[in-house]
Amino acid sequence: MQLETLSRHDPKTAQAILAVAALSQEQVPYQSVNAGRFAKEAQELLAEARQFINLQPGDNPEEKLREFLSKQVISAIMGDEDSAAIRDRMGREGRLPLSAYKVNFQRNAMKLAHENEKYIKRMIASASDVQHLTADASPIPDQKGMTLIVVPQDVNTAHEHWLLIDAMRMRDTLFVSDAFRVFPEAVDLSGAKTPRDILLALVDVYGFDFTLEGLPPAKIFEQLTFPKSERDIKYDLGEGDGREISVTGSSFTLTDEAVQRGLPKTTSYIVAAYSFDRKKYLKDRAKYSKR
Amino acid sequence: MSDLIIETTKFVETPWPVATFTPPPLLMWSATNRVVHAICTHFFPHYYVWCSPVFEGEAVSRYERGYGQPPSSDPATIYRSLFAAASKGDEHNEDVKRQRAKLEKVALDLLAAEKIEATKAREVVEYLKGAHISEWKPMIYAIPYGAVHGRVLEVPRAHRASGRPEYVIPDLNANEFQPIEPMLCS
Repeated sequence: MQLETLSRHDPKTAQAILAVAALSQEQVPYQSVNAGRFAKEAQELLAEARQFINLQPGDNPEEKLREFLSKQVISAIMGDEDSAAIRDRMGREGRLPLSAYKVNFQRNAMKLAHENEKYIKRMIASASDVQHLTADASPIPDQKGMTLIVVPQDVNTAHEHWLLIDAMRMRDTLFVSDAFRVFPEAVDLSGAKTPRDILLALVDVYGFDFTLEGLPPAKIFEQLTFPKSERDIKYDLGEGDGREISVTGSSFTLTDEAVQRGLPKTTSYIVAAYSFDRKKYLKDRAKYSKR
Repeated sequence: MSDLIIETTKFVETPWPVATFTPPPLLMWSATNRVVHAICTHFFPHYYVWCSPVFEGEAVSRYERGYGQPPSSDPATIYRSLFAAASKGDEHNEDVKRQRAKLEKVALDLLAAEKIEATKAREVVEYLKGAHISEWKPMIYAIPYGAVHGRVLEVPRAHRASGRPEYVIPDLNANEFQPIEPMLCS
């Protein structure tokens, strides 16, 4: 709905008048950055807005006016922009609130982790900390990212520990790939400040040295770029039961034009590749859960 | 029926005066929540905070500064109220509804003043739309007074909840406070 008071002004001024008018109705005042500039126009706008409010018996007139102005504000901000496209972009970049992401599970992931999908879903909803990682070097917007979620468990009991959830992020969806019980008795968390720090500490205990594309052995590799498909990356895990690696990243086929400029046909961007000895972990998980 | 509307328009036209404290407090306290924190951190140029030199009015003696500060400006009371709403999953919490709408208005205000880009303002709307009540977990800002001295504004009486003084810092920077998430004790 185009309010007549606003249609008399250029779009920027109309936005400012609407903002001043809407903020003037707030119960907790706010010092608008446009304060003192459009008070008269904002008064006119409020008078016009009141004409549109269809009050029913029992309605709170102030509340109705605020609701009406809120709708106008959202419409002034959003314009014709597609909401889904904004959500996709924010999702990819890890800038949506955690509760706005849809949650799915990678096949068999929770079975391997000895966790229950429903429980993990509920824990994600009560997360205390989340960290979204992306492949920093990737110029491609539609890439996979890594999301780490931390939830305290059994607080103030002998079993107190952290649940670390690892998920692959695509647009506004998380695909949970693993979940770990991190017990402070087994994993040194003294230097951990972020979920990534917890993963590093976990991998330090349960990881093992492996090599990737001839790089020096390490338990975890982060932020790597290779001129080949993700599927063609070579790993050497060494020998031993229960040895796994987890890789989050994307590969892209470049356009012919880019290839003609000398760029490799396919490029992979790895957010993180880490090793994990599940057998050793599950043994500890059982030991510390029973105390 | 529009003649029934009671006008409560509060235009904030003149700059608010700078607050003075004797003696100066060590810290200013502000109760906020994760959603407001995230929006100020990722989308807005500054943190706009209501604050108090006293964390909990009821915990100080009646002769001390901050005694009897109204619940709506008492960081400890605000913290408890939001903690209850977030932990009970109260989607209809009035404070949250109001704050959500207010943040959208602030986004438009900043957009009109060219303090943020249109993309950011739209992302604020999407962020708020997606944030479930569980995201509105309370936080406390501990703000060393030395860093904000001269920028703490005293809210004029017409805009206050009571006769007690209330304060605002309109342009707090990320490196000027410590955000903390204490556990609720009582």
